[in-house]
Amino acid sequence: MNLRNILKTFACLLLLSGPALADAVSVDALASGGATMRDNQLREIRDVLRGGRGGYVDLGFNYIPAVTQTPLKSEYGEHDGFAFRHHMAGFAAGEVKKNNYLGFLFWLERSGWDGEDFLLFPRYSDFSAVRSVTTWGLSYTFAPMDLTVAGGMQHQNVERVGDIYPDENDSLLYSWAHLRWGHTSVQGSFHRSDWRSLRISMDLESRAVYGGRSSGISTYLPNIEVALYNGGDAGDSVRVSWEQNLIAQRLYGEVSFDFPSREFHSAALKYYPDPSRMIGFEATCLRRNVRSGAADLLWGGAVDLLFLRLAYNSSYEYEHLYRAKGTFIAEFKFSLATIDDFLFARGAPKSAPMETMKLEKKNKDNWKKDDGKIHLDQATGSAPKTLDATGIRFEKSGNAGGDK
Amino acid sequence: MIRSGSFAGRIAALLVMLLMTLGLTGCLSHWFLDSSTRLQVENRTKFDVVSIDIISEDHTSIKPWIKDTVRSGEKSRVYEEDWVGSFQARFVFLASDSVKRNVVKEYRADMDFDGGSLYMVLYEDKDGAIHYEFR
Repeated sequence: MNLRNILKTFACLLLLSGPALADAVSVDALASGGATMRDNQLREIRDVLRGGRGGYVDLGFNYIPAVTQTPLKSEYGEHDGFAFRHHMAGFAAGEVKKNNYLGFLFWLERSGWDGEDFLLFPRYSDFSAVRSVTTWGLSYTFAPMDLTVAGGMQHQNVERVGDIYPDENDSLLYSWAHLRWGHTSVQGSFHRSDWRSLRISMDLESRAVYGGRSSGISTYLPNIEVALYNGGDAGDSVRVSWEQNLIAQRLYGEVSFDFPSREFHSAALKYYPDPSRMIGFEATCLRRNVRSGAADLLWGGAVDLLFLRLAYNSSYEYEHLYRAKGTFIAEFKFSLATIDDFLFARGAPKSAPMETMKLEKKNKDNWKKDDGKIHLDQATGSAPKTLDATGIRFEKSGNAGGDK
Repeated sequence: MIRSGSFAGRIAALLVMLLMTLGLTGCLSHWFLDSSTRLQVENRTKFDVVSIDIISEDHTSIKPWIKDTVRSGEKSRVYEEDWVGSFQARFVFLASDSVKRNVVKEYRADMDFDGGSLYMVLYEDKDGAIHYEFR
């Protein structure tokens, strides 16, 4: 597959897709943006804490060049402007005692809609909604048991909401907790003594970056997520998601259903040329719940190129950028996770191509201590043959003692 | 690509990319786009204009724009509002009926505002119908 041709095609489509085709973002979607942001940050933290060690950096913002691409539909009409989403995140864990890791998490997202596009200073027009969510916390990992405990706070702050939006508390404080043991994790979000969401994840797939297998039947086990949301008077809801490796951790299928409505929510087919997921292609299908039957489905796709993401009607952009659709959306981004000096994208099962060989060797060493070969540089006495020193004169060298 | 080069080189490359992206977002579009509309109205009709507002699509909410009463033959002051996009404007005129009683007449028009300065002229054609024109 020629990447340059794909990029050219996308660039042409980007120019040709008239902004006139774009559909407006809604006041409702912007009003519920805070909950979406909080949930998304906790889901990302779940992914990053799969190992509980290492680090993670993330930086990104959407780039929408034309004012007519994401106009705002209010009761007065269509306002020209920009839906925006800026996010950054970081996680770093260090070994405080042998096999004991202490980490710090920091997630920040600022998003909404504004009359101007900006990076730091919005215009705060009469119809703007500018909101930020900060999640921070501490994590503790005990490596021999593959156990991680984490917890912290989430701050949701409103900088501005115009008169057209429902009233909103300008400063809300939530707490969160995360417990992972092996492949299973439980995550809860709370507001005072009231639970807001609960996420149970069973990431059964074997991932080489976390010391699992790099191929074989165990890499085809599913990743199942059950997320419960406190809907207050509207009733609680459950979303069940299933992620499945289809071919060699390069092709994945995802499907999610909503309960108690028992309705299909979304499905995706994702292809990663390399299992480190730094580059990805996805085709998505999402149920919008605005019409009935097949007419309700939104089909779209996205190309993810480590520094750039281009999407058209993709389910991620629809859900995280205020139901923006009908237009090409670019995101400049950089996101990379690391563990034991191996690099990979968040959620990936293997490290970057150049490092996969090293990783496989390291994991094999862990699985089977004695691989039947003689290591002359090992000082262990278990080697089956010993070299007789008679007649050999040792010379003192710079790094005597062996470099492992 | 990420792992090659010195540490300083990598940081420099990241900085250059950050600056490029900074240049691409924000700011630039304000060189040629306005995010508010400054409106002035000249009334060339024989009626007084009581108000000019933006009215919601279901006609239940009204946001005033020109807050002056613009007498026949006069100009309003300039009012800057964040109306950029497609909206319905409402013009309220004070007219008098056959027995010289004051009556309020309303006109509505769908309008597109691209932002920036707008000078609107209201006038009557020879049939007495009221029109608007941007100059």
